[in-house]
Amino acid sequence: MPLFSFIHISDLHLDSPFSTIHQNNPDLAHTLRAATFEAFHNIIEIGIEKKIDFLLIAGDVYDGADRSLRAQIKFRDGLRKLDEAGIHSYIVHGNHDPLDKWSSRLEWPSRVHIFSDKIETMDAIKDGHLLARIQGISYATKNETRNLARLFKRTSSAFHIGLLHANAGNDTGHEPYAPCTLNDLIRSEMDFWALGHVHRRNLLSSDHPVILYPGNTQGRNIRETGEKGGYWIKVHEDNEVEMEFFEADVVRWVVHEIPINPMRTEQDLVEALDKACLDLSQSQSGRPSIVRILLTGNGPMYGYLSDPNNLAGLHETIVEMGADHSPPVWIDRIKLNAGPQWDLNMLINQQDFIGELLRYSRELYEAPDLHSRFQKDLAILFGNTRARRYLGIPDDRKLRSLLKKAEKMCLQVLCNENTQ
Amino acid sequence: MRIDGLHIDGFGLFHQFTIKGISPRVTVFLGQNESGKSTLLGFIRAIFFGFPDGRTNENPYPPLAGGRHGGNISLKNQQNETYVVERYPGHGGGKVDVLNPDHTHGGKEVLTALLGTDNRALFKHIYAFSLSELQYFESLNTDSVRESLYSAGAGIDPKSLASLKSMLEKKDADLFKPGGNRPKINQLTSRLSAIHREMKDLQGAVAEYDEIKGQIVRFSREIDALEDRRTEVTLKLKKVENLIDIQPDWSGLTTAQNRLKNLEPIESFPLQGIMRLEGLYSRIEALELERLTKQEELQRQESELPSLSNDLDMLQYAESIRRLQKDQGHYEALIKDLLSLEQEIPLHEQKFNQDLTRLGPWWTEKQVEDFDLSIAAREQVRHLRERLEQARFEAQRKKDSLETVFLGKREAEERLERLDEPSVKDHTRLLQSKGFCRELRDILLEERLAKEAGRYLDERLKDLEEEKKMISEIPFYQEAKWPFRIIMGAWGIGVLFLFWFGRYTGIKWPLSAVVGSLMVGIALWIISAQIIKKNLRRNQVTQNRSFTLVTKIRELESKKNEAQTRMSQIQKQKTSLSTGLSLSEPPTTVLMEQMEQDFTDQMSQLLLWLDARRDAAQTEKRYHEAQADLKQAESDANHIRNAWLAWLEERHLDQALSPEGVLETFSLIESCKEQIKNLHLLKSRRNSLEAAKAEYLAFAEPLFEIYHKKPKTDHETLHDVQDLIQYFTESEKASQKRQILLNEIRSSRASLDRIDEQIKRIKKEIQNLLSSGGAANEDVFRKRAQTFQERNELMKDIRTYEDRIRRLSGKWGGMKKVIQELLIFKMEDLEAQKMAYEKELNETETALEHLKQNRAGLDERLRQLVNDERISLLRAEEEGLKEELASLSEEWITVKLAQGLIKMAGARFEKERQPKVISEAGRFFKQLTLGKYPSIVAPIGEDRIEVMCMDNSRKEIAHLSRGTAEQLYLSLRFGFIMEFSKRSGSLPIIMDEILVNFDMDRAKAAVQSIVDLSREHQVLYFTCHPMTAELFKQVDPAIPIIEISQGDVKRACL
Repeated sequence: MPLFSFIHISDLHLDSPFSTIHQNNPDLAHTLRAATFEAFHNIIEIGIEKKIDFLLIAGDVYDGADRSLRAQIKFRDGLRKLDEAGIHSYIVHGNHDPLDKWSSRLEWPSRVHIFSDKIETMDAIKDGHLLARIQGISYATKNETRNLARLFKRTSSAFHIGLLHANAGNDTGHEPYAPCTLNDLIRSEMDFWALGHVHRRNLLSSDHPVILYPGNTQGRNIRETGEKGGYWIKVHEDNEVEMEFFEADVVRWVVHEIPINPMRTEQDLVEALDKACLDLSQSQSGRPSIVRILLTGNGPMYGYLSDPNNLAGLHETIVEMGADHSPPVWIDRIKLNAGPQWDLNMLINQQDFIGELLRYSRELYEAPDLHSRFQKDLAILFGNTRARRYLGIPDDRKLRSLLKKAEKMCLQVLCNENTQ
Repeated sequence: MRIDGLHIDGFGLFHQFTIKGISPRVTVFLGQNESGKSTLLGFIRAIFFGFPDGRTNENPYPPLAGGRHGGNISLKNQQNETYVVERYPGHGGGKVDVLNPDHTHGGKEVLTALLGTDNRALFKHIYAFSLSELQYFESLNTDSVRESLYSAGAGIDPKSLASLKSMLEKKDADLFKPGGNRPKINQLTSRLSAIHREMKDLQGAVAEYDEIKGQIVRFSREIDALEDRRTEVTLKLKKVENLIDIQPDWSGLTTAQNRLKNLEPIESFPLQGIMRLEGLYSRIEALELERLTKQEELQRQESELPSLSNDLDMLQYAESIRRLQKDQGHYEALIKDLLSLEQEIPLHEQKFNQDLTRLGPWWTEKQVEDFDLSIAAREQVRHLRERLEQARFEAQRKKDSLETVFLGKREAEERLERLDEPSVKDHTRLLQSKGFCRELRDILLEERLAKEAGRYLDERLKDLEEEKKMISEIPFYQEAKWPFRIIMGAWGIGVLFLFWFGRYTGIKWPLSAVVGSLMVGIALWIISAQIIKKNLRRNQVTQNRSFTLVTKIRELESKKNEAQTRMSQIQKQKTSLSTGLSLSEPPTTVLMEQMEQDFTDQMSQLLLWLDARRDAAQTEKRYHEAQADLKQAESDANHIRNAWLAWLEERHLDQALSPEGVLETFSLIESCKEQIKNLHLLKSRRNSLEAAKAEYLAFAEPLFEIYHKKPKTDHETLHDVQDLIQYFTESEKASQKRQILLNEIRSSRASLDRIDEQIKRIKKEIQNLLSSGGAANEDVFRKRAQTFQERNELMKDIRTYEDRIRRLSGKWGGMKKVIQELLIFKMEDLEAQKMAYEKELNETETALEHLKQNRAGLDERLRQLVNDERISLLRAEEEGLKEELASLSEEWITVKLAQGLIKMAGARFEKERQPKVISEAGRFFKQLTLGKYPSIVAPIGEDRIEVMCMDNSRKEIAHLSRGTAEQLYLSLRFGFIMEFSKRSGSLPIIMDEILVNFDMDRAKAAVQSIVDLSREHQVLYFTCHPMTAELFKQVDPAIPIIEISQGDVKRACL
């Protein structure tokens, strides 16, 4: 029997836009628009059902500075339900929802505490007993570059929780807001660090202190795959912490690889895709899924697939197949990462044009100045006033992967026509 | 690597077609049109690089002449090792099988290693090309020539690079164009900008939300203040309205109190006095009316009573008459049944008598009843009937069998009579004789063969003897060395003398003579040595042959002796067998065959006669057996018939009856028995009915006498009984009615007494009522009652007014305070106050409504702001477009990278390969054009080729004649082949009729170049022109010409 329990979530990104296939699919568009709200609603219901003592939200409640009122109201309504159930909520804001964009007119329930941009300590009390001491700080503005973790200090022997939106340990996949190291977190002598900012769940430390990123509550794009939700934390005697992840997402993003090596006909492809849809439909805990199919490997069907019209036709077929399943499987796109059946080692050693092309391609691939070699060509697009507003200049890693693609594009025409 | 031979299983018009030992240099294949030259080219391409599939327009050359599509090609490498490459159509052009020199098998990797490439296009365009491939260059423009030059060197399809570039350019144009509107990226960025603007406009929502929220708060405060004022005015209004409402009650109360004071005080009065008085008078009236009615009814009853008199005596026989009535129906049925039985019984008796007569005149009822009709008796009849039928059938069957056997017997006897009786009846003896004939015939054949063998041996021996004799006559060569040595010695001395003489005299000719003599001597010595050697070899051959002959002669003589021994044995066997056959003349093969045939015929005849004799004996025996069987069957039938007659006699039945007749008689007797039983039953019933009738009549008789009825027939009896019953019923009803009337009269008298009593009691009650109302008579009573009621009503009104005033004034300080106010304010004042309050209230309501409407509008706007999805939708669209833009930009980068790759790789390829190719090609071009164009030039950095003229001027390809252009392209190919072979070894070159547009001189020069090329590369040249083949022969007579004709091949000699 735990002394008390709470739920730790972060990165709700309420009313976050979903970039995908939904423009032509009203059902999916509706589901996606409501997805972040539904996920939050699920968390509230779970909190009430599990009779938690308080809820911790570690920043990025909203998706952007231009947060919608709808999101704010729905967020408040959710917290009100907790309030009515006698459950406290403690919230800090992060880079996506700094305090300077906060609506001052919104009326918050009495059991909700939103931490200010100064370090604050709140006591979680139940029946006159101190359960935990919660320290937290919100971002005043988006660009919070201070090491906020250093502001946290233990003040008593009570169970201490640090609630912070920060990039701990310099996670390269995310912006370096409120950067701090693991040592900074450990030095603060908190018992539990409830962090936010990193969208994939990650337990940085499982004991003394527990340092946890619960990940975001609803995947929003193909980079945010897998189960999403929050952690139900139970604190026992001697500050022993027990953590249990729960799913709260309503739609799941999946990247599914299908090797094309054994396929010989279009029918083989369709059958493999149909089977993939069935498997995916059955493996997402009853949730609809948005799937990106990655066709990998090398095989004779590469030639067929490399024609964009064929790939589009296949996509159309599989979209219908996926939608027929229950729960539905929505196909985001079919991406061709496969290659042909050519023996590149042999081709590269040929003393013909193809050999020359491949040798040159390999030379470019290894070149440290790849970007500068193509700078002039790329400037046509990336130097364009309007386009550069929306496009980031590709780094060398990206250019190398596209170089491979360009190589395949050339070989597809040169080898196919020459082997016929 | 070169092609050594090929075998076509089935390919185009070739079937089981094989060519072996193809020259490692040039081979010319000569054949008319459609003889299969291009087919051979196609075959070689197919075996090397796979069969074309349906996607290309290449001819797959199906096996028209039969066989399995495909075949093999034998290849030889530089070490002269043989590889056999075999391929048949299948997936991916067909699986290739390579038989290695060590007899292991390999696949495509071995073939690729042998060929140095697996590039089909390279082979097709450079190594194995026809006129059409050569001429393909002609139609290209300048840019394409460069592509083609690449492809000539690059080993790719000339169209592929061009189509790749074209595809990339198209993609580039579709994706992005600076300043453009239509390309996809341009469209996306435009839309994104528009979204950005729209979002900016919408992002003021938070500020608006806050402002509206403030306004709503302000409005809410104003609304609250107004609502308070409205409540206050409403209260005042209600109070004034209340006072106005109370005013009439107050007025009524004062009026009622004044009226009450003026009325006579009556403390008590009978409750409902007038009503009760009126009720008592009404009751007296009603009782008077009822008494009158009762009196009239009593009079009517008393007048009716005398008319109800009846025969009371009749009722004393009530029990007897009811019984008579009860049995009346039974009696009627009984009379009917009796009548029916009287008619039925005679009919049954008549029928029975008729059936008895059918059985026979002597049959009586007693006999019928005693006759045994048991199941056992019937079974006996059926058993006897079956036995009789079986005996009859058996006798008939035996009779039929006897007739059949008799016919068989007669047929066998006739067949025996038709056959001649054989002279020899010993089958073994005939078989032995036939065996002797066969043996003798074999002996005669062996004798003839032995004689011929002997003759052959004699002839062979004779030939060998003659040859031996001839060999022995050949002189044996004896080496005679001395005379030769003497001559040579003398010649040597002569030479030495001439040498000495020349040295001594200084004359030169002896020295020359010496040298000449020496040379002649040496020549003579060599010739003589050769002659000696030849003679010695001949001696050796002669000796060997002689030895062989001796050996063979011995072998043949041995064989001859063996043949003679066998001949004597044959003679002995022949004599012995002739004796066995008792031959009087020397046996011959023909005679033996004839005798053997005779013996065979005799044996067949004897077998037939013996069979016929055996059949006759067997049928005779069967005939006698059938006769005996028939007699036995007839005897059995008689025995069974006698048993049947005895059975009939025992039962006194007619002897003429058959079993079926007896069974029919049984049925008739059974019917008669049934009729007898029925007759007994009918008579018994008639008797019982007659007894019942008598009993009924005996009961009715006394009543008939009392009422003087004397019926004579059954019908009259029934009628009289009916009369009696009816009379009795009427008497009984009259008695019952009289009793009822008496009861009613008693009741009417009692009612009259009761009514009188009641009237008296009511009158007494009226008197009591008047007294209790303090009145002496009815008028006083009524007046006092009215006064009392008026007082009561006024008091009630006063209470009602007071209650209402109390209730209405509860909220306003109580009745006392309200009454005080009513005493102060007049009605007019109150009405004026009310109007003022109402006006204020209306104004407040209007203001409130206005404020609430404003607030509702703001609430709605707030709701709209909260539920506004436009930003969400725009952001979703923006996100989608951004992702699409990222994807398109990646595609655009890919295109750009691909273009860069092609451009840079092309430049490098040109730079590294072209000069060498061009210089080699120039050398060939000079040779092909007989020196007219000494070289080819590919200006650096320019996409064109020029040819250098003799006067150092340059010409572009477009300015060359068709033939010269083809020579240029051929030269370029040769140049590439020379360059390519430096890296990957040599491949066979196959050309199909490429010289047709060349003039004779240049064609000859081209042939010379081809022959030169063939020093390093095997060349197969296909042509349909004998002249071309002749050109090759002229250049090198050793070049083989292979003539192809409709799937066949032969070496031609031109």
